[in-house]
Amino acid sequence: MRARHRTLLSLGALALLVIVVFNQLAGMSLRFFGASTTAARAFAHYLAGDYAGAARLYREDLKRSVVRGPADATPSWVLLATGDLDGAERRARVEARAMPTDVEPLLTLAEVALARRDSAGAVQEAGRVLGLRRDDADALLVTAVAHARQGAADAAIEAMKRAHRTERVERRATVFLAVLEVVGELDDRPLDARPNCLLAHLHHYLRLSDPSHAEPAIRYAQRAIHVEDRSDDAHVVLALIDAAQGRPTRGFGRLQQALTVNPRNTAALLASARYRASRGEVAEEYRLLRTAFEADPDDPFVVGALHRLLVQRLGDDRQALALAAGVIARNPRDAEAWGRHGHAQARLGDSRGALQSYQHAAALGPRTAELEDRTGHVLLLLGRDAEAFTTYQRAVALDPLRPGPHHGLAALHAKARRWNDATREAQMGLALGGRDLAHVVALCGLYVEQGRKAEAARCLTEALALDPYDAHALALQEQLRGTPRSASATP
Amino acid sequence: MTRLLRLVRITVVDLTLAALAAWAVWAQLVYRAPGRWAAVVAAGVATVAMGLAIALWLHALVRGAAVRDRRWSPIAIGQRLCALVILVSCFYGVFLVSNGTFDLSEPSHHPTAIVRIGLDETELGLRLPFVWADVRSWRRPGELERVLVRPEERARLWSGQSVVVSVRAGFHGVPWVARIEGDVEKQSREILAVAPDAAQTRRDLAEFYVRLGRYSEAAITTREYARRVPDDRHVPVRIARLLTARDRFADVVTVLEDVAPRREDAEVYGLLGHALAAQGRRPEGIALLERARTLQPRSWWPHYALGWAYGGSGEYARAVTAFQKAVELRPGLSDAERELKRLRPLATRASR
Repeated sequence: MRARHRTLLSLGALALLVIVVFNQLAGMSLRFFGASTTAARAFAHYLAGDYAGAARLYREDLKRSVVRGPADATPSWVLLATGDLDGAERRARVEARAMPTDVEPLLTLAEVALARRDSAGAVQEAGRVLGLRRDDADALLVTAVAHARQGAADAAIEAMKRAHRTERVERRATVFLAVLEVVGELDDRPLDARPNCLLAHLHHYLRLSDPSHAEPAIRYAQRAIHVEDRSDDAHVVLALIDAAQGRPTRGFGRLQQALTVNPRNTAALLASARYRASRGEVAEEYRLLRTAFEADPDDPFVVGALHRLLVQRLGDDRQALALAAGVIARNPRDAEAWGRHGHAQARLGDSRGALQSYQHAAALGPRTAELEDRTGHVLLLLGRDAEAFTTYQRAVALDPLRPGPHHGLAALHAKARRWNDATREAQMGLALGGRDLAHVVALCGLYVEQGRKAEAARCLTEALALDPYDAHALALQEQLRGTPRSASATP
Repeated sequence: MTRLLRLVRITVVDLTLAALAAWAVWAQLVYRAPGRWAAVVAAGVATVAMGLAIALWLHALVRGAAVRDRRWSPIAIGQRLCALVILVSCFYGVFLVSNGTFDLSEPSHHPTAIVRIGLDETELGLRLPFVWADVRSWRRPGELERVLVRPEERARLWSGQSVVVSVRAGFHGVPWVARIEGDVEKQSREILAVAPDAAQTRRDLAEFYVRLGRYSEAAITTREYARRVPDDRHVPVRIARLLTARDRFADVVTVLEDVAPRREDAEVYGLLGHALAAQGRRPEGIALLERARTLQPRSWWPHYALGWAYGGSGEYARAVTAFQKAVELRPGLSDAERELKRLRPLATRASR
C-alpha cells in the first residue's frame, strides 16, 4: 500500500473516531462538564463507570460552585449543597413553617434524610412533597433512591415509573447525584444480587442526561425479562428506549409484549395510548386510557389523561363529568377531581355548578394558575366582574406566562370600555401563545373600537385566514369598510 | 488563476446538478403519480444522482483543480451519466409539476388501506429522504399501488391503516395523488360507537364529509350533532353556510330545521329561509326571511335572499325593494344589481 493511501486511511479512521466521540459527548448534559479539576476527576470516574465515586466528586465540586449558584435557590438547599446537613435541616424547618405550601423546604428535608442514610425519613418527607405536588420528579426520585437503599426494589420501581411518565427531569443537581450514587452502589453488587428491573429503570432515567446509558438499561431490562423480574415493566423500558432512538413501531411491539405479560400494566397502557395518539388513532387511544383507568381508577395521572382526551379530543363533556363525579364519590377530598368536575360543568354551560366545584377544589388543594384562570372565566360568564378581575390577577401572579388570564382581563377591561388596557392585555395574551380564533377576533374588535384601522385590517386578515366564515370577524370587516355593522355573514 | 476558475466552474456545475436533482425529488413527492415501481425507482434514481453529484464535487476538490480526468476515464463517464440522469429527472419533474399545477379537476376520494410502508423505520433509527406506501389499488382490485409519502405525512401514516386517497385527473391526463389521509369516517364511527356524545368527533366527521363533497352525509351528521349539543349554534350555522355556498339547499334544510325553533336567531332564519325558498317552499322561506330582516334590518343578507324569494314568486315590486336595500347595504353585489335591471321593468308592468 502506498504511503499516500496509508495516510488517507489513517486520516479517515481518525475522523471517524472524532465523529464517534463527538457524537457521544454532544448528547450529554452540560452538568457532566465542570471547570474545576474536581469536576474533571469526577468526569473521569464517570467515564470509567464508577458512578458512586463520580457522584461523591461532583458533590465536592458542587460545594464550591453553589456559593455563586442561582440567585433563586432556596437557602436550605444551598446549605445542603455545601454539606451542612444540620444547618440545612434547621433552615428547611423554618422555611416550611413560613410557607407551608412550598415544596422546596420539604424536599430539602427529604434530601437531608437521604444524605444521612435515613431512608424511611426520606420516604416520609418526600411523601409530604408529593401530597402538595402530585408528580414532583425530584420527590419521586428521592423516594426511589430511598426505597432502593432499603432493598424495596418494587416500591422503587413504582416511584421511577411515576417519574418517567411526566417525561420531566429533576430540577436539583443534588437529586441527580443521589440517583447516580445509588446506580453506582447497585451496579457494584454481585451480578445475581442486582435488582435488574430497577437498574434498567435507573439507567433509563440517566439516559435522559447521557444517551450512552441506553446500553446498560437495555442489558438490565433483557436480564430482568430473562429472570422474570417484573418483566412487563422491563419490556416497557425497552419500548421507551426504542421510541427515543427513532424506532417507535418496534417499541410499540414491546409494549404489546408487556401487556401480554400484564394486561393491567398502566405504564404500558399509557405509553401505548401515547403511541396511538401520535398516529391519530383516537378510538384506540380512548380504549387504552379507559383500560388504564379501569386498572387503576385512583391514579390521578391516568384520570387526568382520560379527562383531557374526553374534553379536548372527543368533546364528550358528559362522560368527562361522569368520570369526575365517580372519582369524587370515591374520594370527596380530591381537589383535582373537583377541578375536572368544574371544567366539564363549565363546558356544558353550567357556570354556577362549575364555580362551586372550583371553590371546592381551591379549598381542598393548592391554588394553581389553571384553577384561578378557569374560576375567573366562570365568574366572567356569571357577570361577577369584580371577583373575576381579582381572580384573573391572582392567576397572573401565579403564572405570568399563562395566556388565558390576560385574555380574561382584556374582556373585563373591554366591558368597562377601558380600551387601552384591554388592548394591552389582549396583545399580551396573544404574544404568550393564546392564539385561538376568538381571541384574535376579540383583539380585532378592540382595534375597530379605537379606530386603529390599519391594525384592525391586519388583525382581521389573520382572523379570516384561521376561519374565512367567522361571523364576528366578517361583521367587523364590514364595519371597518364603512358599511353598517351586520352580524349576519356572507353565505 | 486558471485553477481557481476551473474550481469555480466545477463547483457551480456540480452543485447546480445536485440542486436540480433535489428539485426533481421534491416534484416527484408533491405531484406523485401512483404506480407499481416506476415512481419509487425514479425518485430513488434522482436521489442517488444527487448524492453522486455531491460526491463528484468533493472528489474534484480533494484531487485538486489542476488534475484533469481523461475523456473516457470512469470518473468522467460517471460525471456525464450523472448529469444525463439528473436532466432526465428534471424533465420528468417539469412534466409532473405542469400535470399537477394546471390541473383543474375535482379530486376523487378513494377509501382504501395501507398494506405496508417501505423504509419507514430502520434498525439504525435513521430517517431516509423518502418512504413509500403500498396501498390497496382503487383501480385494479387485488393489486397494490405504490405511492411516495411526503415528509409531513410520515408521522400520520402506518401499515394497516385505513386511509382515503384523493386522486386528481392531471392536466396531461396522468392521475396524481393529491392527498393521503386517515379515514376519518371509519375512525369517527369507531369512536361514536363507544362514546356517542363525542361532540368534537361528530363535528370533525361533518367537516370531513364536506371536504370530500359528501354533503348529504355532512348534513345528517350535523343534524345529529345539533340534537346532541343543542346549545351550540355555531357548528350547524357554519356547515349550513358551507352548504349554501354550494347550493345544497335540501341539505341546509336538514341541518337547520331542528335548530330554527330553538331560539330567535337571525342568521339561522336567513339561511333556512333562503334554502326553503330555493326548494320551492316560498311562503315558509319568506316568513323566516322576514323575521330575520326584522331582527337585523341593517344586515344585507335577509334583503338579498328576500329579493330572490319574492322574485321567484312573481312579487316583483317587493323583490326590487329588497334587492335595492341589499345593494344599498352592501355595494358591489353584482348579481343583485343584475336582477334589479331585469326586475324593474317587470315590476313597472305589473303595477300598471
